[in-house]
Amino acid sequence: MEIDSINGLTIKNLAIGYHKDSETHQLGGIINAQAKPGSLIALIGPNGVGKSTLIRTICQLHPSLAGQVIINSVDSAKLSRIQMAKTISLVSTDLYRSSKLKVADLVELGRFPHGSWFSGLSAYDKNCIKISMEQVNISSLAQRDITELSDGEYQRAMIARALAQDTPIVLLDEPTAFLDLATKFSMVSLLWNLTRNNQKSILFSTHDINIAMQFADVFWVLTKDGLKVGAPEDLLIDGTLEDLYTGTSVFFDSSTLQFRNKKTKLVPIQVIGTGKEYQFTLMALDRLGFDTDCNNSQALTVKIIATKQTTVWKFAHGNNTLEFNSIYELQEALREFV
Amino acid sequence: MADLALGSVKIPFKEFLSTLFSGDKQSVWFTTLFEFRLPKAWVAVFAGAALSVSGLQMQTLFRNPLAGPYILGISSGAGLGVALLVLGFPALLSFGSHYFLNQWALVIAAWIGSAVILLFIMIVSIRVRDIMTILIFGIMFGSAATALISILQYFGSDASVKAFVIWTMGSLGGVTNNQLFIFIPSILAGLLIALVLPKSLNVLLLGENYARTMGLNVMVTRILIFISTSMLAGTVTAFCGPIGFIGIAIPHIARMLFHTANHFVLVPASILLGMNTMLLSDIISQLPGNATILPITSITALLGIPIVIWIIIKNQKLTHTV
Repeated sequence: MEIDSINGLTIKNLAIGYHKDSETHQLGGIINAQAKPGSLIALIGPNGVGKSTLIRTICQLHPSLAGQVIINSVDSAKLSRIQMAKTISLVSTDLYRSSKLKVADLVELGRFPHGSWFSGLSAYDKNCIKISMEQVNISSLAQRDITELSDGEYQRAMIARALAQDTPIVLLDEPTAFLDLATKFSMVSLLWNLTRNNQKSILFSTHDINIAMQFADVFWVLTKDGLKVGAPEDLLIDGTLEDLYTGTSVFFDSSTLQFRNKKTKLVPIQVIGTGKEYQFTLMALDRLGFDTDCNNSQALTVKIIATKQTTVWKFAHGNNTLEFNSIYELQEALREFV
Repeated sequence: MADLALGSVKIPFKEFLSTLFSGDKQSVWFTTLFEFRLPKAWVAVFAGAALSVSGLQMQTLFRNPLAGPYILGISSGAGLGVALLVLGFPALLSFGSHYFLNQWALVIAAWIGSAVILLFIMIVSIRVRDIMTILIFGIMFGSAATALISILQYFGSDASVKAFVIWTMGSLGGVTNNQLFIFIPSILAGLLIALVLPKSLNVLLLGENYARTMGLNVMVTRILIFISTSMLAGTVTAFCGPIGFIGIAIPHIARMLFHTANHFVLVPASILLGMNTMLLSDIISQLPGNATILPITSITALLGIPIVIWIIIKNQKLTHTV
């Protein structure tokens, strides 16, 4: 991969870590990567590997051990504090919220690097704040106290603040943590839209790999050996993503295109049927610990008979046949076979 | 006005007005009014502003709604500074019999005392984020300072102990016209720094990491807050003794009244509210009339403690939901 690019963020031979008791602890290997304008990048990796440290190192909250962070062909170490603030904005996991701070005032703080010590807001500033709130869909909450927001709303307000800061690069540390499933999706979808509409490079760390796979242009996979970069699918093909979970029961299920948990003891069962009832029955049996791929087994059989009015599950083992009216009834009866 | 009119010596209202505005030096009330009450009112006004602003700055800097010069032990630190000077090195004070020099020495000792405790708390707050833990540290530092003061008193000479005890009993009224020439400029200097900082304080609301990524020079801001707070809290303690709870309570009242966290509003609001609350406390302290004056600390405590309790209860709720 070409490393010396003109635009965007380039990380060159970067070593991250910290000094403790006059010893140097390096996290992972040497990191090389780049983030192009208009791309959404998911930073993936197990806990403790240094995802947060990498993000903090890129935005200079944490000193690097070696190497460079190059922004638009300029070494970021040579940028002033204000120039940095106009280039990279951060949304961290910090949960502290000051009371009596209104959403609009919070977003306004993003304009700090663009003004002088005393200057009030210009018309341009005000417009910038307004547009930032519109983009994350929180304009209606502008006058709310931030302590009254849900976690998802607060996260969006913090993103609006980062947008008001008007930087080509936005870093987010675990923006999907603490959110419910629908909000996780809308959050990553929002980030995706921002890369498309504003040509920003957005880098976010996450543990929600299934969600990230559906949006991110690029995965940065951080492990003890260093950083691997590629489209999510490339990293599935070469096994990088599955290697993350070596030694655990998690595997990538290419039939559902999701990471799933492997069951250790599987009982073969045959399922006969069609339609969505068939799909959901498979799902339930899978959850209960049955192997539904093995259709040759004659020991246990579930036959689904669906009519317009009702659905009946017929369960046969040996010479016995039982009938159930719901998956719940079926699963209660099947428990003794697992 | 009311603060001037009321006091242990009764002045007929009509006489009060005529003396105040004519400035008639021959009037029997002139001395009472201009030598005692007016300085006291000035002290109340500036002490109130100083304590409130130092409390506001600490609350934002430590991101701790319960921070204040008294509860974090800053006032005790100032007391220790003075004790070290008066009890530890009485020679320094008697050495130069120059009155102003001595007074400045006292104030500077108080500043240094405040600064040392503030520094301790800053170091602790880098490692500990928990609000209550920092508070306990503050109380510990304050107690340690008080304990050291007791030890110093034990070993001090009779004369110096007497001088110190008189100092600790200091109240708003203990400040003379001459001392005002030190008191007011010191506080004005502290307030001036505070008036430059609102934008930086606003950015600090999100914490130092965010402030840094938004381009704030956190180190310089911290040092400025540090200097301003030490000067404000130190000066007040040096002249009036420890006055509690104004520093914690006033910023919260300002936030509630104006429904904002914006320091462009909160700094001036705290100054004004602090002034008024101190004057009010001073008036209340004189209400029993005649010769009795209630200790000002008791009044501010009774006014401030309900607010502190309210903040603690509110925070309890917050920590449960987060």
